[in-house]
Amino acid sequence: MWLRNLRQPAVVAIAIYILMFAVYAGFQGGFAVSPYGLAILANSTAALVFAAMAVSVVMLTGGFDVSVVGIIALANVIAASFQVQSVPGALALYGLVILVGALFGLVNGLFVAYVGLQSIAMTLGTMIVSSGCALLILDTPGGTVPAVISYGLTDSLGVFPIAGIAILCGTALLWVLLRRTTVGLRIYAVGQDATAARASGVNVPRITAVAYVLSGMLAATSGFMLAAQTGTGDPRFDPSMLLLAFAAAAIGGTSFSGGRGSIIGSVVGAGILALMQKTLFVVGVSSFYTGIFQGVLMLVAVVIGRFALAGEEE
Amino acid sequence: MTSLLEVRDLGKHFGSTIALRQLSLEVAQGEIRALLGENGAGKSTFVKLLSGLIRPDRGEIRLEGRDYQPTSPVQARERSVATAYQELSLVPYHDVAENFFVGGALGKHHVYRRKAARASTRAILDEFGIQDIEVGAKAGALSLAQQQRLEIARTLHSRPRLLILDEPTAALPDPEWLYGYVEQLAASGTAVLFISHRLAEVRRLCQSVTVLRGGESVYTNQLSAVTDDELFEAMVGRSLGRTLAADAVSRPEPNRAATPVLKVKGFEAGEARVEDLAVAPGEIVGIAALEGQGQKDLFSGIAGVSNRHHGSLEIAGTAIDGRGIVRRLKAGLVYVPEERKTEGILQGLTTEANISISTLRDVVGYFGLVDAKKERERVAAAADLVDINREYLARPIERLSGGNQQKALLARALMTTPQCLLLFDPTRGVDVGTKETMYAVMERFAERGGGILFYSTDLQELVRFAHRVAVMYRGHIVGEMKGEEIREERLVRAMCGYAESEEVRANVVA
Repeated sequence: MWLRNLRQPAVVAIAIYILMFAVYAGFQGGFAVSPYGLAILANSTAALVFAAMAVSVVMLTGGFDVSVVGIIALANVIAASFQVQSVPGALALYGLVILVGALFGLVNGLFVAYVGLQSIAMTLGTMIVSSGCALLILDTPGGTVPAVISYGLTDSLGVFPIAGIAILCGTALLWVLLRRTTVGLRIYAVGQDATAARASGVNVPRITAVAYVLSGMLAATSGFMLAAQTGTGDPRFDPSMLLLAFAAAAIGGTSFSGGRGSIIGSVVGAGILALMQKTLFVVGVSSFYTGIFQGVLMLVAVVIGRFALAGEEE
Repeated sequence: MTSLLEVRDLGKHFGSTIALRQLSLEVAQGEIRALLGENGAGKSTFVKLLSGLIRPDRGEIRLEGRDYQPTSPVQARERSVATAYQELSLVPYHDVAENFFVGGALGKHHVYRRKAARASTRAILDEFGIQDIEVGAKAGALSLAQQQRLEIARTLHSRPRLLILDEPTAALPDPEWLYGYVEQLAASGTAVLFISHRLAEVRRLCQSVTVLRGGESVYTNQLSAVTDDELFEAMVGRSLGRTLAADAVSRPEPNRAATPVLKVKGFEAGEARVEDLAVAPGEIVGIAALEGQGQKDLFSGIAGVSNRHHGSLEIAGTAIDGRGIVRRLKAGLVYVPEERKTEGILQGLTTEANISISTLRDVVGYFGLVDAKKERERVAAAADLVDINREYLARPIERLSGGNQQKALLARALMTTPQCLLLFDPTRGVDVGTKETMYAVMERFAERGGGILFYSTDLQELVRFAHRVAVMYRGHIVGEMKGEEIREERLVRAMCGYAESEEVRANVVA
């Protein structure tokens, strides 16, 4: 049984992560595992993790959501535009950000699921619109994210970085939703075979729309985490974030044709990509090489996944 | 008796194709009604309309006296209409239990508790006497027959008021399994629409029959008041006398002295373990087996599509090693697989392109471009051979009926001018007319010196066509019959593992 588990892309990804962390810690020494070191790593990972979750949820239905980066930028500038002082205020701000993300997700979902637009075309549109909205709110990079957020979310609770806790909670919540509710079962089913799912009694348009709404909320969370990490607002969307989010999903074994994949895989995939930047830095490789390493790693993971799949089907 | 289902003047078209012209029928509570008709007669369209997958252009449906216009299968279920689809509606990478829960077949749930879900699914499967399916198995990994039983069990379990069974026995080796449950439901007042091409099954299960032809309901009667000939006439508009006469014609004996077009020795692929099997030029060899006896592995092993084989394989004298369809094509063997939808047709392409795809290299003209005129001529000739209406050639293949798709696949196979045809259940779920065409094509192919190896779930087909039938059981060939020896009851005996002689039995056990 455990041998079979070894074939799971998520398990492969976890193994790669542990290996890479060993290299990272080896070069960094004790700092890597100190509370401060862990917090830095978690902070630089969090935004990508939530972005990867966002694209993965839609990928499971067989679609692509590229609006994620637009929503991230919008969430980022919203977080930098309200000077809240207290924790309840920060939570209210997070609520607002989530609401905005959900709204864009809903628009995506309605047009893809009920009007029948192709997902890339539709979400490309909302990506441009949402980053346009971000520019309206903040026309140049700047502004200050409230300290309660930028310090609160990047701090540590004892040895545990808060961003890390956020990652774990987000992952656990989404995992439960996808694997332990019928909504989750249906999201997977739609991606595997929409016709069969429909004939089985799944309300395919509604489930598809739900996935886009979820994706919007996760993207907004990603933008919020990014704001906390950078401490400032930036209305420009980051294309490399989008590509890395898809790469993270691919490393984690989420299928680009829908219906297969695991959220844990995507999260660890995002972790690997973020850790790789750090590792290359501490090893002393010029940052110009980061892209090459990340790309090659993704291809390796996809090839491994391909063979794991072939093994499963034998 | 009161009518549970009333359908009046139902019509539906897709683009310029009229799928249903005018369909009217009434089915009473507790009645089991057979729906017969050739491919393209409108049966599948009717099923989809009733299930809420598509909506009619006009006409009226009343269910239990109330207007019924489902816009989705969800709404159909709310009105207690359940369908077991011919093309099956299981989600491949979900396990069996998840398939029961995904569409709410087990009531409304939001939380999915895996253990509880598996336990209740197990209980349902047990209730339907399905022991050989693990609830944790992925639906896509099950055999076609298992998937079909699962689809049916899922449908029956909901105890619908209107039960629609679309070709439920197409992949079932033992249809008796189904009848008891259907009759039980009917006794509780459920109206049943039963679609099958097998008259024996229809007579066994149904009380009444409606025949569709060209999108119209042309004939309705009690089954006890109608002969088979009358039904055939209603379906195809011609009498069966002609086709029965064809049986009497003696066929030329195969040339067993010549080099066989297909020869395997000590052959192993997947579950299949075949010591010796040869197909001579002009010979039609049938394979008979219950589900899952390794016949699928034997065929895909010979065809080189999935499992790597061990042992020797010769196609028209050429030894073949390893996988790969192309080298088999070159050697003269072509395979028409079981699953049209996933293994055969190329959706989105025209029927013409689907037929010519394997032989495009023959029509390449200047600068490596495809000579469209030549392609069209060759395809048209092949289409005539398998009796496909030339009008269909320009249409996307997924718009054609299942029977016509199957004919197109056969045309594609024949265009490669093979010496050996490998057919896996070629007439599964196709209508009488298409069957006759396929039989005619097969016979002509054999008369011209080609060899055919075909597996069929329809035993009568084997009895009627094969020069020789090999029976597979647990991966081995446990019996072989020739000519007059081939009889249904003997086939069934052998298929169930009752070996003809102790010697053969000893081989199997060893």
